[in-house]
Amino acid sequence: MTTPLRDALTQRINQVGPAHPDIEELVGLGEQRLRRRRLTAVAGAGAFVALAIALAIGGTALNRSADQNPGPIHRPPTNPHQTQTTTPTTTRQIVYSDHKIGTPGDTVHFGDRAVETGNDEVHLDVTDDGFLYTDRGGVWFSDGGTPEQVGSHLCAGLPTGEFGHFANRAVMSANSGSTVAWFDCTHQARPTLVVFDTSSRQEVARRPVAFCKEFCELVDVTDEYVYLNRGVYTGAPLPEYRFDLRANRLRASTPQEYAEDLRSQPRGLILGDDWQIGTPITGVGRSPSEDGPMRFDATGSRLIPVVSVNDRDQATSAFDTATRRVLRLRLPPGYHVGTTATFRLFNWLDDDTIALVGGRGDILTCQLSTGRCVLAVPGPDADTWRIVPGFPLPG
Amino acid sequence: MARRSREQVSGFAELVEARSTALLRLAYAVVGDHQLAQDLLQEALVKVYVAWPRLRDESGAEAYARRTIVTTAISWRRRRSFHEPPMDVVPDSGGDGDQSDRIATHEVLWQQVRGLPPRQRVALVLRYYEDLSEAETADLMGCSTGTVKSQLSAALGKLRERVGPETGVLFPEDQAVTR
Repeated sequence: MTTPLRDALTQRINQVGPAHPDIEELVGLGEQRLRRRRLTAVAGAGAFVALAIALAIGGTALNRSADQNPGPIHRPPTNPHQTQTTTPTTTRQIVYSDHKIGTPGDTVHFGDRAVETGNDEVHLDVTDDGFLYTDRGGVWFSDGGTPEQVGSHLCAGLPTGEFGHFANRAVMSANSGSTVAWFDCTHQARPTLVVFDTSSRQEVARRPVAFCKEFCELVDVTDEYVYLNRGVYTGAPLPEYRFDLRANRLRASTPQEYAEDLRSQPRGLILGDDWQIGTPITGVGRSPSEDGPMRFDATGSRLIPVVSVNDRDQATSAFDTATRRVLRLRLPPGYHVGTTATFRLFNWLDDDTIALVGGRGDILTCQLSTGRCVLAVPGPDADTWRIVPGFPLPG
Repeated sequence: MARRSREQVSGFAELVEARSTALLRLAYAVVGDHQLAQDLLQEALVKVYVAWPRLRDESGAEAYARRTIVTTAISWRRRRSFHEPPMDVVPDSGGDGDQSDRIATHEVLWQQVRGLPPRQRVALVLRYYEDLSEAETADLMGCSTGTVKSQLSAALGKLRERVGPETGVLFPEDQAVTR
């Protein structure tokens, strides 16, 4: 007796009985997710109001504290109940930090919370569970409560500077989920790739990589892989190796593998005239042409995605990898920019919402499905520098 | 972002009523576990609800749900039962004759399919259970047809090796894979 594979699979899978989904529950969950998106959009604005009030009434205290030594690393949170009130969500929060020139920057805004870090962060990153920052060699994580140190001897933070070229991308997270990676240089002759899960708050992999002794950089982190290379690239780095998180194995990789992986991610963009042959990118890493995330130029009421092709700026289409539709973003109604303004993508808040930061620090959130953008957090004063995930601090 | 209108909720409910069983079977096929499949179906349907205004019609919504199931399944690497090793022991079919042999054969095959890496399993299921062409499989997985071919080739190679000829499962020849 023989059975073709197709029939065998069909007979086995069709043993699954009919589905009885609870439609009311699905609608409830869907509405809950829509509400979270609305809250995300307004949370940033709320944080700005709180910040403005804090600056107004606490300016003197802030200046006084600037003259003192930075406090202990583990400062109590402004609200002792912050951690308890954190709600697990798949929607990411807007994260940013404002640095007033001449004063130490030690507050990170995470949604509607202000978290004191107690030290000058040099890099911010974000996962579904909270945010990370680095100081001189340390990696810290906060879910909105007191930050905890989760890594040390960060290669990019070493004073010797061997890995200092890309300090702004020294810690790298995936566009969704809880995975984050960095290099640990406890043993400089043998840097170690560390993969950390911010949901379980545990290291999930620690892999020494001898060939990174001279130079390595993280290229990208996805749900399944950490991509890295040994070269120094201008524009988007090309992955030479990838670490398979499930198999706990490092092996050679190719740009084609990387592109296929990105195409399968719901949070990503494809640049070009056709999504099938365009270049897939995460949007938040370095874009194919320049050392910065995906750029959008404000032209009239529209935000035009920009990618350099053959060393010249050329506006092309950007497609959403989830729906394969062309992005058509519009500036918020009544939002005024000068003759031109540039925005950069710095965070995916969910599969349909991205966060952009403008040259003067305004943070917009844009819904890909409708193209609508709103001003979520107005920019800071002229003497204040705003830092968002994936961007370096001044100096 | 307003609440969904009554009309939109009604359209969504119609899709759920009509297509849930097919979507659940797809989810089961790609994750190999009934509980996980129900979780996956729920997640996909919630995403469909959230994205409803941009999905335009029911076929677009179902396509979105199917793509969500496939891409989410590939990314669910942390779910333990998704990666349970295949069983070494042929389950007792509880009877004699062709029927029980067939059930045992299907079970052996299924356990080995469950043990495949996610991308290989998804490619196999889309190609041989959903009966999609390589181009359609590539479209749903968001990869090239070349990748689908290589994933299928690897999956079929493993199954041929692990599911012996005595089980009576007929595997397609490599030449027959292309459509």
